[in-house]
Amino acid sequence: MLTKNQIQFTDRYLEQSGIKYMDIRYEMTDHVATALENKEGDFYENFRAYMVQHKQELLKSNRYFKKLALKRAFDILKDNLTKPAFWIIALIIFILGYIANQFNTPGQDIINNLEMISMILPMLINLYFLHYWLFKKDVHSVLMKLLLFMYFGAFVFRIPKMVHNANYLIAYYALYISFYMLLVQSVWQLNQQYKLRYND
Amino acid sequence: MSKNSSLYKGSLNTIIMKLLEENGRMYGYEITQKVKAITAGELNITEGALYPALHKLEADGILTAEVERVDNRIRKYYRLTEAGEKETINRLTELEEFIRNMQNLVKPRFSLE
Repeated sequence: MLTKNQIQFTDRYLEQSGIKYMDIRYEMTDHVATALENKEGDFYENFRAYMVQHKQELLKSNRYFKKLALKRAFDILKDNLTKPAFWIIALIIFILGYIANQFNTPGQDIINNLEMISMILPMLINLYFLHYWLFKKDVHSVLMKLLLFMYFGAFVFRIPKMVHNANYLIAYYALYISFYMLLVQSVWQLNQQYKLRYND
Repeated sequence: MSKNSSLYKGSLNTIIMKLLEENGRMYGYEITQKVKAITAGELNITEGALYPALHKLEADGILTAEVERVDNRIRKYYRLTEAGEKETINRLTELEEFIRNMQNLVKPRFSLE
């Protein structure tokens, strides 16, 4: 059986070799560790010899895994768009926004309020993303892809102010806010699953 | 995989599913060693072939995974889902037909002349 230090050495080596996501790295660490436990002799010599022979294959696994994580993140995004909850929430926000717009008074522009909400939600997500990226020791693949999408999506999907029709703008913000609310829920659920799985 | 990998490539998923059907749950390294033992070293599944196959099968709902803390590290075990068990039967039937057809195609014809 390898010692804790030897396991940590293996894990750190794989991380520095580019296997950043913990869900694949834990599996690779176990694979390498089990292979080395079956060898006699000095751990570091065996480790070096093993990596000369197998490192490219481990990195190949990692490349495929990252593509699969991206696909799974997109599947989550796609599923959110087909959930009844997405359309129900968007409809509720639109109806409320439409009604409020009928009673617009100077200084209480509902569209500006909706725009503010649509900025605050991604801002909170961006803060979480930065915290996750900078401070979290173990980064999970699908979660990271989702957060990355949400981080950049907040900039890419900002509709420029060339749409002047109030109802179209309210509909856009209703869909935007509903989509981000469901994404936040998906990120939270995914995070809980990983904590449960990896005792994080 | 070994030098005749093109022959085995299309069967890797079926091999994994068959092993899991027989053994309940297994982890990656265990699968490679089992295959090596059964084929007397003839077939060596590399990490670059095995783990993409396992992760794809998991993403497709054929396998499910569970993790356990073992000997100072986390180990990921795979087992067949209900859908995976049904799919295994289909794939094995397909493979048996394939082998039968190949045998008919490549077996030498005996001549009475």
